[in-house]
Parts: sequence; structure tokens; C-alpha cells
Amino acid sequence: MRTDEENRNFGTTNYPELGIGPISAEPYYSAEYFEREKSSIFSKVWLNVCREEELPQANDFVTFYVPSNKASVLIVRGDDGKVRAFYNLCSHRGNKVVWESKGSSKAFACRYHGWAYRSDGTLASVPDAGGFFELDRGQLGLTPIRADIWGGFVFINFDAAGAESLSDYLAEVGDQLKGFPFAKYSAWSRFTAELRVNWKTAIDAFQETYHVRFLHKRSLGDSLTGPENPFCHCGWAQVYDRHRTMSVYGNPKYCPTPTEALAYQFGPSATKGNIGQEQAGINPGRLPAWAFDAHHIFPNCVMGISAETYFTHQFWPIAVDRTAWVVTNYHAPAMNAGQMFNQQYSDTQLRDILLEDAITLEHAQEAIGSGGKRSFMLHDQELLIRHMYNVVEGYVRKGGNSARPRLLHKQ
Amino acid sequence: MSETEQIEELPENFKELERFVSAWSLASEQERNRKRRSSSMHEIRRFYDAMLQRMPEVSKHLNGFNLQELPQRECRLLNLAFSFMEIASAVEVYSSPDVPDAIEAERLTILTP
Ligand code: FES
Ligand SMILES: [Fe+2]
Repeated sequence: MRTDEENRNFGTTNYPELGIGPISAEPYYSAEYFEREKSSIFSKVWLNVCREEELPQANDFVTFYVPSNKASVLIVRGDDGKVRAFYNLCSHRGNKVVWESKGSSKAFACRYHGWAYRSDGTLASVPDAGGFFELDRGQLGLTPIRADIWGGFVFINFDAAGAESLSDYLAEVGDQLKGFPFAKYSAWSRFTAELRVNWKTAIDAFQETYHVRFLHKRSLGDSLTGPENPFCHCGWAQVYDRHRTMSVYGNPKYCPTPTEALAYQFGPSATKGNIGQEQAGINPGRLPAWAFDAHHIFPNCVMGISAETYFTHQFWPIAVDRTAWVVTNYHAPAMNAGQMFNQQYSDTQLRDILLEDAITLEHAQEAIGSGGKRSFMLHDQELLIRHMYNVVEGYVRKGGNSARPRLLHKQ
Repeated sequence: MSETEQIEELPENFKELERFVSAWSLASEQERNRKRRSSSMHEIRRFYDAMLQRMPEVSKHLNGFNLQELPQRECRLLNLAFSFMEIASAVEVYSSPDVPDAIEAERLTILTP
């Protein structure tokens, strides 16, 4: 039998500034708190929106809606190869310029009165221009949004006056991921859904594995638990200024189902217990029995990284109890049918598992919304939740960056 | 040969799976998931049992082809095998077409490029 002391060795007490007490429930249901999160977080920090491979060629573009900022965003690769982001918003009288969600175009003509923009955002032409007073074309391009790329991930930042670079923002989590060959896994499969949850209620479920044995008893069986780790303790974790990383145990003795075993023959899996992985950018704690790492890129992105495959979540807040959820599973492009079976199985398995999370989160949110509990309890294993709670508090109560908690790093 | 028979044709060694083609050889993940959810366990089980024992040969056969130049019949077989990957957990894990205690999969939009 492990003692309580041994069961609480995950690291919460290494970060005295995070406390050990209950956390307030208010951030999970207060509409007023949510408004403050939108202005102090989602309007200020770098947000991961897509992969560079989604727009490989000059003039390729994608558009999407960021509900927290009520912004339709256009990401486009210019003739010069540079990826830029703009408000998808016409300088004339505000029409959404591009209606397609993706495509390729040298120029974008607004459907309302025909103003046209180049792929670098500059204004190309104005029909019947002579009728306008003081038309300063140089000032009338699409309004830019700060954009930058890290490791092939496109990030945007709505704070036009912000000074922090993306690489400074990512800091230690960027160092942690260095060397992982994201670009190699350019084949992807995605699903989206709108969940009736607060965005943090959703993220919290991916910041601990305490729930695996119960919530996922069917889908995950004993793949991430076992006699040596009955409660699915994480083997390793580190919290940074704003981001955090945890490594999930994989049961080396797990017996896959017949179809799982067939799919495994042809490629990687995040549940089969990847033994002795030493590839760059993964398994930082060099755990002997390891399944995958989860990196939390503040505020709303989670990356699950395994050997030879990875997946991402993005959680886009809509309202205090509504979140748009985007899950993308990435693979190396399949060279044969067997690899495609592996990827199809992996997509289905991930989707099945996440549907179990989703229902629980909606039930939790419905209950939390009553305000009947003013605080919640956190296990030592829920250190990452405690950390995010503190980081969010830092932004909401103290205006962000300058007041963010300085953390000691767990060695 | 009638038109339906041609449309449902599979490669030579997999003739006995042709009876599943019209229902299960579906081109997108969204369609395959919809089919899984709208089928009875009885129907899923029949498809599962027939496919499971042939999957090693299906893989072996299809692995001999370049994915970019897959003939029609092989393409049908591939989509059939994808449906098998979709429904396997209904039999092996959940004993139910859909995941129990989960949000309805119809709330998802499944996008593959
Ligand atoms: S609103 Fe775009 S051209 Fe008028
Ligand atoms: Fe979960």
C-alpha cells in the first residue's frame, strides 16, 4: 500500500504560490467573470488557430469565426509566401469579404459593392471610385491582426498594441516541444461540436487523468491504468508561467481488442503503451511506460503528443456556458492501405473517447451553473487545473502578464 | 449482369463480402459514423463477424496497390474496411452502436480534407 504521502508526490507543494486549498467555482459560471476573460485574455494573448499546411501555396486562405472576439478572421499566404491574418471585414461598409471557409485566390472581391483586396491585404480596386471623397487607398486595406508561426502552427493575437513575440510567449513549452516533427504529420482528420460548457470546464478534463478509470472505464479499459498505477496517476508534469505539460502513463501489459491489434500492426497508437521512447520533443520525463504528453498552450489549446502521431483541441469560448470545440488528429500521410486503417481506427477511437468526456462536461456545467457550490476541491494530481486557475486569475484580476505568477520549476 | 451487381463488385477473392457493399462501403467518415449509429447491433455484428476474419487478407491485398491509383473494386473494399474500423468498437468495446453515456455523435461535424 502506498502511503498518502506517496500519493501526493505529484508536485502541487512545489508551487507554494498556487496554494493547496479549494478553488473558487465562480470562474466556471459567472457571466461577469467571462466578460473579463474575453477582454483580459482572449483579446490579449496569442491564440493557436491552424496549421501552416492548411495553406501550403501562395494565395491559399482559410477563414473562421472567433466567437470571443466576434471576429471573422482571414488567414492568407501572400505572393511573398508570408502568412498574414486580417479581420475579414470590408473597409467600405463592413461586409464579410470572404465567405468561403478555405480556398485559393489572388484577390478577394467584396460581394456587396465590389471593392477588391490583394492577398497581402492591400486595397486593389474600388468600383466608381471617383464618387468617394478623400479615398486614401493606402489606409483602406483589410485590417491586420498580428500573426506568427511557431513549429508550423499559425497563431494570432488580437492585441494590436501587444509587444510580446510568439516565441517569448510560448517560452518553456516551446523548448519542451522542440524537435518534434509536426510537419511530418500533415494528414489530418477533424471534428467540431458546440458544447454547453464553460471553456475551462472543458479544458480541465484534459488536465488530469484522475477521471480515466471512472469516466472512461469502457473506452479506455486498463490501457492507461494497471496494477502498478490503479488510479492513473500521471508520471510527470511541469507547469510554466502560463502553459503546462503532463505525461500520461501507458500500461505496457494492456491487451488490445482484435481490431485495435490489427490497426496497431500498421502504425502508431496513443494507447498501446509506447515503451522506451526517446524521440525529440516527447516523453520529457523519460517514463518507462508512457502513452502520450499533453501540452496546454494557454489559454485554449491542448496538444496530445504521442510517438509518430499527435492531436490538438481548441476550445473557443462563445458564452459563459457555451464553447466551440475543434479536435484534429494528425498523422503521417499514409503510404498504404494498412496505414490508413491504423489512422481510421485512431480517429474513431479518439472520437469515441472524447464523446464520453463531452457528456460529462455538459452535465457538470449544468450542475455548476446553479451556484450551489462556491468552491471545488483539487487533488494533488489536479495540479495543472490549479495552475490554470491561478493563471486565469492573474489575467482577470491583475490585468495579465505583469502580474502573472512566477513559478518555480519542478525538477 | 445487372447494374447493381457491377456497382457492388469487389476484387476476386472477396466476393462473399459483396452483400455488405451497398450498406457499408461509404466514402466519408461522417457517412460511416451515421451508418454505425443508425444500424442495429444485429446488423453491425453480422458485418463485423464477416470482416474480422478477412481483414488480414484485405490488408494484404490492398497494401499491394498504390493508393493514388486504386481501381474501383479495391476502392470499394477500402471503404468497406474503413467502415469496419468505425464499427469495431461498437462490438468489441461498447456492445452498442453508439458510445453509451456520451453526447450524441450527430452533434459532431466530422471533417476530413
Ligand atoms: S461593403 Fe464591401 S464593397 Fe461595400
Ligand atoms: Fe477524458
